Amino acid sequence: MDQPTKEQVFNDLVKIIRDLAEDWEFSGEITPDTTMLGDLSFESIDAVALASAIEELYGQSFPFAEYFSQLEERKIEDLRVQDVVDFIHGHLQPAETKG
Amino acid sequence: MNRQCLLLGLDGASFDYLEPLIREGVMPFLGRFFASAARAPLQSVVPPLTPPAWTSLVTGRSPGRHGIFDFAAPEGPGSLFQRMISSRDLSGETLWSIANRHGRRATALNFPAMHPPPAVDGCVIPGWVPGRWIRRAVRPAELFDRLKKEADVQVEALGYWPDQESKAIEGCRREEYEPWIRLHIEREREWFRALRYLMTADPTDLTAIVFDGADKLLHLCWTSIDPRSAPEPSEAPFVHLRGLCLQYFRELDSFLEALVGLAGPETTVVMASDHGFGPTDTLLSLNTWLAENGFLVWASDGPHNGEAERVHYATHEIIRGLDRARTQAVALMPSANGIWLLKDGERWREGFDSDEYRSLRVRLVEGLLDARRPDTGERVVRRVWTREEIFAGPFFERAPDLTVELVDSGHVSVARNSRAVTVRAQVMGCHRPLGVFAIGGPGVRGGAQLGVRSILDVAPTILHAMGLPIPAAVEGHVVEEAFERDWRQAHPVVHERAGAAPDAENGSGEEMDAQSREQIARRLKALGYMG
Repeated sequence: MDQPTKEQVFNDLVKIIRDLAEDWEFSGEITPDTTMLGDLSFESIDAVALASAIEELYGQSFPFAEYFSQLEERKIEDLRVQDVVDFIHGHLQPAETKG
Repeated sequence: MNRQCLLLGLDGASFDYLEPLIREGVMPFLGRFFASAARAPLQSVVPPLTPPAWTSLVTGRSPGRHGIFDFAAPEGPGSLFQRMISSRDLSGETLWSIANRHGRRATALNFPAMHPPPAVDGCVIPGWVPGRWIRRAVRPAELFDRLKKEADVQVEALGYWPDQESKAIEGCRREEYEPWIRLHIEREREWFRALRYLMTADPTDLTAIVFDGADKLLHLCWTSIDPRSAPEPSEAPFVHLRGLCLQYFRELDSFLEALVGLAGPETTVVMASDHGFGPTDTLLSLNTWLAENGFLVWASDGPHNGEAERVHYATHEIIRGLDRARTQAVALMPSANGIWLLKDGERWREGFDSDEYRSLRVRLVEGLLDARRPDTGERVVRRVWTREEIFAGPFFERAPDLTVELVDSGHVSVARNSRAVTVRAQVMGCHRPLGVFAIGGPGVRGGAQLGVRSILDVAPTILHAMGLPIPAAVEGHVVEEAFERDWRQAHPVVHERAGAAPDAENGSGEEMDAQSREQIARRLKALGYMG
C-alpha cells in the first residue's frame, strides 16, 4: 500500500478528532489552522486518546510523548491540526517495517 | 452444563486490615465468605504494582512474559519518554480470551491494560480510562448506551481523572479528603450497578471485575482505616474521615454479597487482590539520591521544588531537566521504582555484559542499600533488583535496568526534593507484596487456610474450576489443595500441549515455539543476561 499523503492524513485526523470530540459536542469546521486546545477544547489527557486512535489506525507507534514535550517549550496552545498532520506524516513508516 | 466463575478483584486487599474490619462488623459478608472458602495469602509480582500484578493475575504469566511493567512504557526501544500502557502492550492470552477460545463468553470490568478493548466475546469496560473518552472504550460499542438507558449507570463516572487520582500519592488539603473519598464511593456504586445489570441481562461463563476504590483510600487515608497508625485516633476529623472510609467498605461488602448471590451456589467465586497494603512513613526521593551521589546531573534550568516535597513529575519534566550527557541513571515514574541507565545521554541499549554497565549497577546497588533514614539511621532500601532477576522473558528490554524495593515496600519520589530521604509528615498507605486469595463454590475445601500462593496461580485455578485446560504458556499452577479430594479425583487438571494456543492477545502470534525460545535465549545471551 502507498504511503498516505498529507491530505489523507489530514482527513484521517479530522475523522478521529470528530469521533473523539463527539463526547464534548464539538461540531464546528476543522481546518488545518484549527487549534487543538483553543478551538477543539482538547485537554492534555485527550492527547493520550488521540495518540492511541492514530496508532491504531496506522498500525504503528509514534513518539507522541516526546513530541508533546517539545511543544511545551513553545506554546502548546498554538498547536494546530496541520502541526499534528506534519508530525504524523513525518513519522509514518513504510508498511514493510511496521512492527 | 458449563462450570462458571465469578472473579471479584479487590485492589489492594490484605488480610491485615480486612480481618479487623470483619471483626468490627464492617464487612460481615466477607467474614462469612472467608470462613466458607479456601484462602491463602497471595504473593504479588515485584514490584507489587497494579498494572503488572493484575495482568499477571489474569494471564498466569510474569511481567517479563506479558509485557506490562508499570502504568507507562517507553515510547520506543531507545526512548526515555514514557507513554501510557495500552492493551497492545499486553502479550499472551488472558482469562477472557482463553475462555472465548473454548466457546465460553466472558465479562471483564475495570482491569488495567485493557484499552483499546480486546475482541472479547462478551463485555469489556477497561479500567484506567479517562471518563472523558470512556464511551469509545467499551466493548461491544452499544454497551455504553445500554448501560445508560437500561441500567441508569453513569458510565462516564467509571473513568478516572488524573488530577484526582494523583492525590492518592501526592496527598491533598484537609478539606479535599471528604469529596475525594465520596468520589470513590460513588464510582464503586456505578461499577457495581454496571456489573449487576450485565450479570442479569447478559450473563457470561466468566465474570470478572476489579473494585479499586480501596487502593486509593488506603494510600491517602491509611491512618483512618488502620487506627493503629493514627496519631490521635479520637480526634474529630479523624473520626469523621474514618466513618467515610468505613462507609466505603460497608458498601463494598454489600456489593460482594449481592454479586455472589446473583452468581448462585453453582458458580465458583474467587476473590483476589493484586497486592496488599501497609503503612509507610519514609520517602526516598530517588532522583535526589542519584544527584547527591553523582549519578544524575540536573540542567541549570532543571526542575526545582524549593522546600515543598513532591512525589511525581511528568516524565518530560524530568527528561528536559537533565544534563543528559553527564547523567548515568534516572528514575522516571514514582510507581514501579525503576532506574533507567544512560550512556552518552541515551538509554543503555547494548553492552549489558560490559564491565562498565555491570560496574555502574554494582555502585548503584551498593549505594542505595546504604541510604538511611535521617532520624534513626536505619536502611530504607531492602533490595535492588536487576531486570534479569525479576523480568526475565521476551519483553525484559521494556523494563527499567534496576528496581528499588524499599524496606516498607513503598513507592519512591521522582521529584527534585531538597533531601534524598525524609520522614513523611503523615503516615500513608503503600503497597505490600502479600494480597489475598479466597475461593468458594463447588468442590472447594471450605475453611481451608493455605500457605502463601503466587499471583500467577490464580488464572490456572480459575480455568481449572471452569473445567478448562491450562495453556502451556501459563507459568502458575492450579491451587489443587483448595479443592476436596473427591472433587480433585473427579476433575483432574488438564494441560494443553505447547502450540495449542495463540500466544498473542491480538491473535497475530503463535505459541512460542522452540525456535522462538532459542532466538530469545540467544538475544538474552548477547545482552549478557545468560551464561
